[in-house]
Amino acid sequence: MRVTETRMIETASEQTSRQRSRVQEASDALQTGVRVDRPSDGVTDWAEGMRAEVRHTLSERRGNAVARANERLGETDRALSGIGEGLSRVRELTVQAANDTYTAAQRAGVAEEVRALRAQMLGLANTQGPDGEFLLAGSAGNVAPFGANGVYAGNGTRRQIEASEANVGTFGVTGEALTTATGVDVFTTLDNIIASLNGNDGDAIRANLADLSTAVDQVANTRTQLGSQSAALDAVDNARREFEVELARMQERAIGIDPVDAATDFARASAALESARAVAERIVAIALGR
Amino acid sequence: MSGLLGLLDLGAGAMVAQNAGVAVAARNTANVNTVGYSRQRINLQSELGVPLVGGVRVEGPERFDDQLLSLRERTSDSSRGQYSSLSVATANLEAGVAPSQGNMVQAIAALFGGLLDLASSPLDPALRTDVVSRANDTATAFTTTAGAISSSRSQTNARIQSMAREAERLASQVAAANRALAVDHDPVIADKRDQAARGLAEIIGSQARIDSDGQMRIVVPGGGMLVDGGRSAQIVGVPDSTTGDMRIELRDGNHVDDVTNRITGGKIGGEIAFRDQTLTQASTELDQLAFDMATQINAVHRNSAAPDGTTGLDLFDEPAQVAGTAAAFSVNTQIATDASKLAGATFGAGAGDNSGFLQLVALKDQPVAGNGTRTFVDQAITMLGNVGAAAASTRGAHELELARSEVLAGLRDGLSGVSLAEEASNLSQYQHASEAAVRFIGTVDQMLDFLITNL
Repeated sequence: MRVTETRMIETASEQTSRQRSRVQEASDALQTGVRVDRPSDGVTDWAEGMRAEVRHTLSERRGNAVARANERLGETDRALSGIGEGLSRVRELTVQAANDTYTAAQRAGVAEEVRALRAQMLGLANTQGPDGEFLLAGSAGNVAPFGANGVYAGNGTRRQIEASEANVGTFGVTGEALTTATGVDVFTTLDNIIASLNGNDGDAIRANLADLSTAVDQVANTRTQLGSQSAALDAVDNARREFEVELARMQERAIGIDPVDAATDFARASAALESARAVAERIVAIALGR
Repeated sequence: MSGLLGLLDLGAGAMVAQNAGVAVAARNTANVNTVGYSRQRINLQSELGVPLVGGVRVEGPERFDDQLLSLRERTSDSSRGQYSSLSVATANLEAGVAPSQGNMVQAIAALFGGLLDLASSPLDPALRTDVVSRANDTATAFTTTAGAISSSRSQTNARIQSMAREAERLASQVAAANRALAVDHDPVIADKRDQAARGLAEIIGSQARIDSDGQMRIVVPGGGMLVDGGRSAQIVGVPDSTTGDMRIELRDGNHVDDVTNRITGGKIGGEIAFRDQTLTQASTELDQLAFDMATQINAVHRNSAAPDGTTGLDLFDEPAQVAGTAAAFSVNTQIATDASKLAGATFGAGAGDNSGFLQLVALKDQPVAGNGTRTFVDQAITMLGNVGAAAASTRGAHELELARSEVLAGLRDGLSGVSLAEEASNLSQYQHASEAAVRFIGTVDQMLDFLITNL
C-alpha cells in the first residue's frame, strides 16, 4: 500500500491526540471519582445512580422528620413530667390535708397552693413546640388545647410521619391523656380537690385521693408510651442511617470508579501516549529524511 | 542533412516532454499540503518512427483519481456530516437538560423531601418556606429545561439556515467548475469541483455523478436537481409560517420544491432529524411530565385546608393544556408570596392535621406519570435518559463514521496523495532525461556544424 509522508504525519498526530484525550479522561475519572457523570456515559448506570440519589435525598428528609418527631416527644415528655411532679405534689398536700387535724384555714392554704400548681400544670398542658404548635392539641395544633376551666378542646388525632420507605408511623400523645378518655380528667380532679379543701370537707378530700392517684399513674403511663415511641423512632433512625450508607454504596457502584481500575487505565493511557509521541517523532524524522 | 534536422526536432520534443515532467513533479511537491489536491502525472508516448527514429510525445497532465473512491468518500462525508451534527447537537442538549447538579430529577426529589419534612411539623413557618422554595426550584428546573430545549431548537434552525447558504455557495462552485472544465480540463479545477461536491455531500447528503460529457450533476436525496452542468439551483432556508422551524426549499427559476423531509443525510439531515425527533420527543415528554405533576399535585392541594381553614388554591398554576406546560411552569403567586397558604390538612380536621401533606408525599410513589406507568421521578429519569441514550448512540455512530472516513482517507492518500520521496525521484529522473536531451541536441548540433564546416 502506498503511504505518503503527509499521511504518516497526520496519522501520528491523530494517534497522539487520541491518546492525549484518553489520558485526560482517565485523569478526570481518577480526580473526580466519577465514572458516569451524565446519562450518555451509561444510561442504565446513570439512572440507577440517580434513583439512589433521590432515595438518599428523601431518606435524609425522613431523618429530619424523625428527629423532629423525637424532639417533639421529648418536649411532650418534659411537659408531662412537670405535670406528673405537680400531681405528686398535690397528692402529698392532699394526703396531709386529709388529716382531720387540719383546720379550715390550713386547708384553704393548701387549696391555694394546689390552685397555683394547677395553673402551672395547665400551662404545661398548653406547652408549644419551637414551631408554635401546641404539643397536646392533637391535630388542632394552633389552638391552646386546655381552657382556663381545664376542659380539653383538642382532639385525639396523633401525628403520622413517613418514617421509612415502607412505613408511615404514628407518634405522640394528645391531651386526651389528661382526660377521662384514658382514665380520669386531671383538671376536673384538681378542681374537685380544691373545692373539697376550700369546703373543709375531709371525706371529700379523701375521696378525691383515689382519682389523684389514677391521674398520677395516667401521666406516668403516658410518659412510658412516649419513651417506647422514642425508642422506636431511635431504632427507625438507626436503620435509616444504615440504609443511607447502603444507598451511598449503591450510588458509588452505579456511577463511581473502581480506584484500582482507574489507576490502571491512567497508567495504560499514559504509557500509550508516551509510545505515540515516540512513534510520531520517528515518523516526522523519516518524513523529513533525517 | 534533413535527417539531422529531424533529430534536432526529436531532441527538442524530448526536452519539452521531460521538462513537462519536471513541471508536474514541481507542482506536486508545491501542493504537498494543499487540501484536496490530487497528485498529477504526465504520460510519455513514443512517436512512430518516420522513417527510422520516432520521438516522444507528452500527454496530460492527468490526476490520479478513482470515481468509485470519490463516490464512497461522498457517501461517507454525508453520513459523517449527519452524525457530526447529531452528536454535537444531542450532546449540547444533554448538557442543557441534564446537568450534574440542579437537574429536574433532583428538583422533584427535593420538593417531595420538603413535603415529607413539612408533614412532620405542618405549622412550622421555616418548613413551609422551605417547601415553597423547593416548589420554586422545581418550577425553575422545568422552565430551564424547557428553555434549553427551546434554545436548542432556535440554534438548530439557525444552523440549518446557515448551512443552506453554504450549500448554495458550494453548488454554485460546482457549477462554475463544470463551466470551466467544459472549456479546459484543468486537473486543479477538477480537484476543486470534487472538494466542493464533498462539501455539499457533507452538508446536505447530496449525490453526485460525473456523466460522459465530463460534467458533474448533483441531486438532493429523493430527487431534485441541485447542480446540472453549468447551472445550480438555489437552496434556501425558509421559516415555516406555523411552527417557525426552518424548511429547506430548492428553487430553480419559478419552480420551488420543499425538500425538508427528503434530506436525511449530511449535516442538515442530522440537524433536521435532531430537531424533529430528539428535540420534539424531549419537549413532548417534558411537557407531559410537567402537566402531570402540576395537575396531580394541584388536585390534592386544592382539596386540602391551609392553617386558616381556607381551601381551593392550586400549588402550581394549573395548565390549560399539555403543550407549553413546562415553559410556563410556576408556583401559584398567592402561595409563592405567603407560605401559610400551603394547604396540607383535611378540611375541618384542625390546622395541625397533615393528612393532605401525606397525600402529596404519597404521590411520589404512585404511577401517575408516563400514562400511568411511572412515578414523577422515574418519568424524569426516563426523559433525561432518552436524551442521554440519543447522545450516546449518535456519538458512537459518529465515531464509527470517523473511522470509516479515516480508512477512505488512507485509500485516497494511497491513490492521490503526494509523496515527497517519489516526487524527488521523479524530479531527478526528468531532470537527467532533460539534460540528456540537451546533450543529444548538442551532439546533433556539433554534427551539423561539422558537416556545414566541411562542405
